[in-house]
Order: sequence, then C-alpha cells, then structure tokens
Amino acid sequence: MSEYQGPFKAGLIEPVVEPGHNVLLAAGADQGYFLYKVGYVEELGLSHPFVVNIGAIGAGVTAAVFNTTAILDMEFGQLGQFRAAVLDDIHVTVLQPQATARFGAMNVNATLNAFALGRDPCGHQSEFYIFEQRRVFLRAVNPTIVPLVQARIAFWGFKYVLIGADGATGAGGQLPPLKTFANLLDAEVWKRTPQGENYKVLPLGGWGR
Amino acid sequence: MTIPANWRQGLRKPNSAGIASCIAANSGVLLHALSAGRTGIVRKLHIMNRTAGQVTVSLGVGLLGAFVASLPGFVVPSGMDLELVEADLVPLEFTANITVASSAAGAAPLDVQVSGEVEEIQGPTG
Repeated sequence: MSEYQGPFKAGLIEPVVEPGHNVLLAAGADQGYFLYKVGYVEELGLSHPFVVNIGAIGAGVTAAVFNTTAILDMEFGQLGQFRAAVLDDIHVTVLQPQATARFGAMNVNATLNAFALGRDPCGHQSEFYIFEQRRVFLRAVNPTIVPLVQARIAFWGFKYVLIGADGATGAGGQLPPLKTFANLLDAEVWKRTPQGENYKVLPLGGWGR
Repeated sequence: MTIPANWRQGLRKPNSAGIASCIAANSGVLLHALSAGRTGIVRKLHIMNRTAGQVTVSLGVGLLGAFVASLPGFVVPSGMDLELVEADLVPLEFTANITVASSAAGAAPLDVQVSGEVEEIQGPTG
C-alpha cells in the first residue's frame, strides 16, 4: 500500500495535508507559487448545499458556463479541497480560472461525467482546490439526444484555514503568503537551504490549455 | 485497494422513447436513440400486448419498413405482459438506434407497448 498523501490519492477522500505542515499553492508560472502553513482542517461533507444544479440542458446543447461562486468560494485565508460526482448524464469541463480548462493533455481536456462513478467510485480523479475566490467554473454538455431537465454535480471535501503573513490585503485581497516563489525551482532551492521547510504542492489551475 | 472489475461499465438509463407504441405490423418503432458516439445494450425490457391476438415482438434496428430484427422475437399472448431482466437478455451491443416491432397491427389503445432499460457504453463522442 502506498503511503502517498497528495492530490488525486486513490481511495476515500482524506485531508491532503495535516495541520502544521506547509502547502505551496501552484497558481501557474505567470502568477507565482504561494507558501502557507495549514492551521486547521474542517470537513465539507456531501450534502444538499454542496450539490449544484446547472439546470435544464437541451439535447446536444452546451450550457452557459456555470459559476460556482455561491457554493465553492472559500473565505479569506482558506483553501478548499474538493472531489466531484456527476449525477446526471452530462460531460463537464472544469475551468480554473474561467479561461483555462483543467485536466488537459496537449490537445484535449478530460471531463467529469457520470461514467466515472463506475470506474472511479471514490472520485479521486476529479480532485481540485480552490484558494479563497480563485474559483472554478463549469462548462456542461448534454451529449444525449434527449433534453435533460436538470444537470447536477455533487461536491465534497475539506477546507483548510491557512497561516500566512498577518492580515488580508484589504477588501477583496488575499491572505499574504509566508513566501512567494516565481517558479518551482526557486521553491525547491529554498527548501534545501538551512531555513527551508518541506511543503506539499497543490494545483490551483491557471495553467494548461 | 479495490480495482474496478468492469471497465466497460456504462450508464444505465430508461429508454429514450418512454413507451414505444407498435401499431403497425412488422414496422420499426424507436425504442432508444443512442447518444452520439455511444453504443448500447438492452438490460431490461417490459412488453405489454394490448392487441386481440398473440404477437411476436422483436428488438432490432431501422424504422418502419426498414426494420431488421437483431435478436429472436419474444412471444406475448393477448392481454399479457412480459418482463425480462438482464439475465434473460442476450447482451447484444447495438451501434445504431434501437427499434422494436410487433408481428401484428393494433391501433392504440389496442397496441403493443414496449419500454426498457439501456446501458450506454462510452464512445469517442458523447
């Protein structure tokens, strides 16, 4: 049995990092890599408030991009770890940020869909992270020849209260990180210095196609 | 860790047509329209014969006169219904829309009604 504890770990969902350990939030090379320490963990169980209904989708229609802000946005200084289960026969592309699709190879992007429930019942391949309001958008397609009256996706996971530099950077700002790195190499070099600490890299999107 | 036993597990759903009504003899009626790129296997079937005589009901492909049976027919006496589950059905994988036809005509409400469950298998689209 693997002792791997990180993103996309197979099996029932577990906290990806323990309190007292560090996370390096990878927002992409253009935005930087943010180091925080985890102060506290709380569960976000699968329950009706965490089920979104994109609504009716006509046969073969791609629905308007759905903003998850009302459901999945996190408070200042908080990080969310989520998995997803698609409850209706739709294919869902995960966008984070809105202009960038997640889970992509060079030319195509994987989708969340109901078939995954048979092959990945624990949902580990659907895992994603939301830091504060760096939110996720969903683009759903009804691939069938019949209209769907609802298109539901369920989420569950954990939230982490992060320790960063003091205070938020004003209204709408973010908790300043303990350290910011321009790239993963800089972070790796710092980790190997005498004052460096280990960390877990968590993908925030912002890269890909 | 458990490894999924069946990588071909699909989505099971009611047939798209709801109640398929056979009113003309040997004429294909849509039972289930496959989603684009997918194939389908009939996992459950419910046939109700409301005609005055015994009929043979077949699953196949093609509409109206273009119907071609894909499996042997099921005989259903007048006024009776026939319910078949997965264990009773040959798991033929349809690659085209699934249609159904009855051997005898019977205008509604004296028709032959068919509903079922189809397991759709993932395809390169849809």
